[in-house]
Amino acid sequence: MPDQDLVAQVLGGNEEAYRSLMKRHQTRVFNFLVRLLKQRELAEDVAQEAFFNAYARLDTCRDPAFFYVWLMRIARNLAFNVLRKGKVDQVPLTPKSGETIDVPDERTLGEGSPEGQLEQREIAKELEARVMSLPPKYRATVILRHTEGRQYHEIAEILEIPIGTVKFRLHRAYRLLKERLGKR
Amino acid sequence: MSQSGECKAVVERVEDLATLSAHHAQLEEPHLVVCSDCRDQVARTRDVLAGLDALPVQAPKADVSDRVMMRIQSAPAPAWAAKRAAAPVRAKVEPKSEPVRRPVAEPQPGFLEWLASVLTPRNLAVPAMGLAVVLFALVAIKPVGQQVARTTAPASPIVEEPELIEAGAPGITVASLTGEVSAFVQGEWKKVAAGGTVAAGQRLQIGRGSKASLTLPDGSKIDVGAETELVAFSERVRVHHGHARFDVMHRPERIFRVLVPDGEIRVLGTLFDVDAAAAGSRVHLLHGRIEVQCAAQVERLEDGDSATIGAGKLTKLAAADHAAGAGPLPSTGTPVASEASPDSVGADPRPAIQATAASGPAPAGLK
Repeated sequence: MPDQDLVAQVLGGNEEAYRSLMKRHQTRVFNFLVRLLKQRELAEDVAQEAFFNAYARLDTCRDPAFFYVWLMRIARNLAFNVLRKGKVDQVPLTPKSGETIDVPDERTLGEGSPEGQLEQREIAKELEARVMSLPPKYRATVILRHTEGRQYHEIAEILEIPIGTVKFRLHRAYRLLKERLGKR
Repeated sequence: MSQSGECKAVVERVEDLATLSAHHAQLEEPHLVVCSDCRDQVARTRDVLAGLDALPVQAPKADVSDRVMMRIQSAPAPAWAAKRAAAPVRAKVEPKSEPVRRPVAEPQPGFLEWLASVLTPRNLAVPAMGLAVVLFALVAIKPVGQQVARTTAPASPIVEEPELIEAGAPGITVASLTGEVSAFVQGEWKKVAAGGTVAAGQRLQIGRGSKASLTLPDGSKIDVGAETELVAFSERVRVHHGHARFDVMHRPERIFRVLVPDGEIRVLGTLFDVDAAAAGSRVHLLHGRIEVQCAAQVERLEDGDSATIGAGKLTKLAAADHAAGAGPLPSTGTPVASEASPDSVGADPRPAIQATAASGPAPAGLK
């Protein structure tokens, strides 16, 4: 059942339909938040808050077909409020914590030799740490583009910035990541 | 190294070029054939993009939805839900604020006299509250006082007890509870403790944000959700409103019955959910076999099927139709807890509150 139908059901009084919505989107929301906030428990708390706030304001979701974008905007606002208040431990979520590398990689590394794939995986590990050290606004854009696979216009909606700014931030983020990774 | 115009052009579109293979990037941008710096830039960008695409998706360790649902069910209704259920909410508040002024508080002899005065053939026959009373008459149940309560003053005291309490019958065990559970005993609501027993036929009320598990004498179990009122006997249960999940012991020699405001579910040994309200009820069968009746209509349900009862009509929803989540009840939009686990029992009863207007006083402290 598409998001807009579930939203309609919730607004019609079917609370359990909201559970279905949450189950559908909770991983995406958490994935975005944990990379912004760098702490699992904090990310879970903020994710809960985001879902609860979304429920409380569900009637203000103008286009339920884009419930995800609207929800992510709420999550992003909450996360940036937390960051602004300086509640986040600035220690990055490094591969050594086991919290990122232990998660199965759901993405393919594309075509290539096993050696090429291994090299890419090593770069991915290094990148994980580098991404977490990016400034939050660049990090948010990168996460939405690459781990969430969002299009430019969706990122623009979630972050409430022009599409041109999305492209600029990605460009800057890539440059920073290349510099930090060094030459091949 | 000074950057030529061509190098600058590559820098401006490096991400686009990086999505191509080295060979295709050179076909796309011939400058790459002759400029190693630019080739290197594109290659490094390609590595970064590939690495970013390979970042694992982080999943929460715990299911966020369960905690959020608990919070939703215990929090005040959001403005949009309160608006939708505004009239029923007022109906809910009024009867619960009246108990101290109601005959329920009168000494017992006065209560019995009042009871005798209302249990007249005329009152029992009047279909003034329409459908609920008529349909009650069509199913094989005892005439009960709450029908009289529905047809007279909206907040008439509960008259089912004590006459219908099964004297000497084994009690109903409240195996566990969260929050507040009350039993209507001798004209007043009294809190029930976990592990306690209530007499078969005593009305039970589960408070807001609360839930309870009941065990019947034959071992059948009932998980009861928040803001539910029911009366349990040894082989039948009447759900006045709210949500309950039934796990009924199979006994071929008897038919376990669940009575809802305008119908009846006959159980042949199974696990199912019931959401009941005067405006309409719903049953969802998780597994087993049950038979649902409303007026003269009877439907037999198999695993995964659902049925709605309301406005004198029984509608069966086959498992495939129900799989994606049940829709609203016939007229109120009362939600259904379909495949919910017992821990999540507690559908939103707010639209069902219309049925509680005539259901009697509130437990002490639950205002």
